[in-house]
Amino acid sequence: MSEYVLQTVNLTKKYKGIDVVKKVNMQVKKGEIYGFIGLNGAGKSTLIRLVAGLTYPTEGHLELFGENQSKELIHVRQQLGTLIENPALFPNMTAEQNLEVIRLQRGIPGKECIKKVLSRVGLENTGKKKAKSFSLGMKQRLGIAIAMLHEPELLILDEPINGLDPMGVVEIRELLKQLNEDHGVTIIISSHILSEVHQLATNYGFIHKGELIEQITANQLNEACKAHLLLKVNDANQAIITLEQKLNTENYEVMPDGAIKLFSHLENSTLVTRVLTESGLDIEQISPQGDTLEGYFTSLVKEVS
Amino acid sequence: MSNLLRVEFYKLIRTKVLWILLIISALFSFMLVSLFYMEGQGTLEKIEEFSDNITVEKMETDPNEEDIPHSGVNIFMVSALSGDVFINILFICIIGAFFITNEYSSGTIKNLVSAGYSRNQIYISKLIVYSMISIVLTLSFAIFMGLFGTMYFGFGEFPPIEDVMRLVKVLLLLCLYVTSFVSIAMLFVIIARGTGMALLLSFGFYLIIGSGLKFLSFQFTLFEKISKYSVYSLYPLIGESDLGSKDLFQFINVPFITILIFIFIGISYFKKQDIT
Repeated sequence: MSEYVLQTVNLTKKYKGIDVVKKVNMQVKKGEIYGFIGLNGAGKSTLIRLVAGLTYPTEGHLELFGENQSKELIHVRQQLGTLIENPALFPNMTAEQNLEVIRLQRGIPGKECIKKVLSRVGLENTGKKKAKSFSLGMKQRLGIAIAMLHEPELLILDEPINGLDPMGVVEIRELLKQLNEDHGVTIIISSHILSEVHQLATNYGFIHKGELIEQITANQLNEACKAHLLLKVNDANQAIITLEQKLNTENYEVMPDGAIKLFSHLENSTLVTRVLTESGLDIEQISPQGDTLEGYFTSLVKEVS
Repeated sequence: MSNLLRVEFYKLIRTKVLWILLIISALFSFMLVSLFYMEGQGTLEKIEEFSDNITVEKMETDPNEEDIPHSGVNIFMVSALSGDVFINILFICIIGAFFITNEYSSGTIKNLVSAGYSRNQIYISKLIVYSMISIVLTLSFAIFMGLFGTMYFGFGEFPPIEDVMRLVKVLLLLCLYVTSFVSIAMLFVIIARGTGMALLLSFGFYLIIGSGLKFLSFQFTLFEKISKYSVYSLYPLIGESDLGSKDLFQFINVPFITILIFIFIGISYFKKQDIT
């Protein structure tokens, strides 16, 4: 049994000769909340549509719940719940009727699940109001309800909090956390609102111009974003001894390339410079570092551009 | 597959256009029968005259004639046997254009395709439901005529068994032909995805192949042969023929082969279609 719920191997999609998704190798483990980050037109929605079976890859393949043959892939998509781009609703049906369509489609016995899921997304009082009269936020909630109705193992949400008010954003965030923590649902969430993704995701995938440029865990990202002084000196070992003896700190990390991240004395780079210089070290770089998710992503994009 | 059929019916009965078409059929039938009743002339002859494709032997139309009373059941039989191909195709194209393209315009086709069903299953389930409702729509005119005829003239006596058997054969063939029309329309609806274009393509195809071929067949022998084996040309002849074994063979084979061809093309197209 594969440890990955979703795995793509050199997954590529071309439209009229242009690579919209280019050799993407992505892995999502069971139980993760995977934040899928990219600019407009980066290929997020196309990749999601490839996973959902709405379009077919030009090259490469994907594996869903351990299956990669087309017949089995169709079958395992029953365990998938999706909200792709705009919520797909029957405008002349009520919220309940829209969910009834999904219930019949999925062969879910009993209608109790409809009231339950409407209550979870805060739409229990919409009554006979037709979906075409819903606000954007209500439509988003109904779209999420549709994706969740059959209790999928993998939930793929493309911009799920668009149009939601701040309370709504918090409610959906809490709902997704609960689904993940209490029910073990794996969630892939793509959003432009990076601060929201940051509060949810356990793993990240950054996509730019169709290519997956980095996959990173939340811990790694936090470490990378953590505020520090970046020191580049000619002798890292001597620098470490100096820091411990003269500045009385062990709050640092040595990188593979010999650079040192110093997590203390952030306000006192002058002191750090003087101490290192007095020890006979040549300083190549000493600069404050540390970032938000937006900043990290922006730097990443600049690096690859 | 049963889930798919159930959900397609659920969506269908909530399609407003279906009810509008049924109401149009009912109102039109009511007006027709009322008119003929008020005019006091032979209702059965009037029905035949009204239909462009007279497919039934002329029945006795003298209202004073006691041998063939005007009755609901007779009106139903005459209406059923003298179906209008133009109106039937139009209704079929309209219901298909709205019922199926609605899923593309609302985006709900995405939910269906990503729900774990093969594209074959989705296509066939839609085709089945589309065919069934098209048959209902096609028969609705005759049914309403019979109902209103009964209201005005009474139910009447049950016709002889030979007439009933012939009617059953014709109705079964009608179902087959309507299914063939649906299989053609469905292909264009899936290609078009939008209501207006779906209507244009599906009905346009009928106009070109149905009427256009017929016109060309007067000029060119090749088109005469093609036209002879078109479902649009054969349909009006169902009620006219005595449905002997030779005729029956052709009447069954042509729509059957049409259905197979268009389902094959339709499924092949749908399987490759990007769902947006």
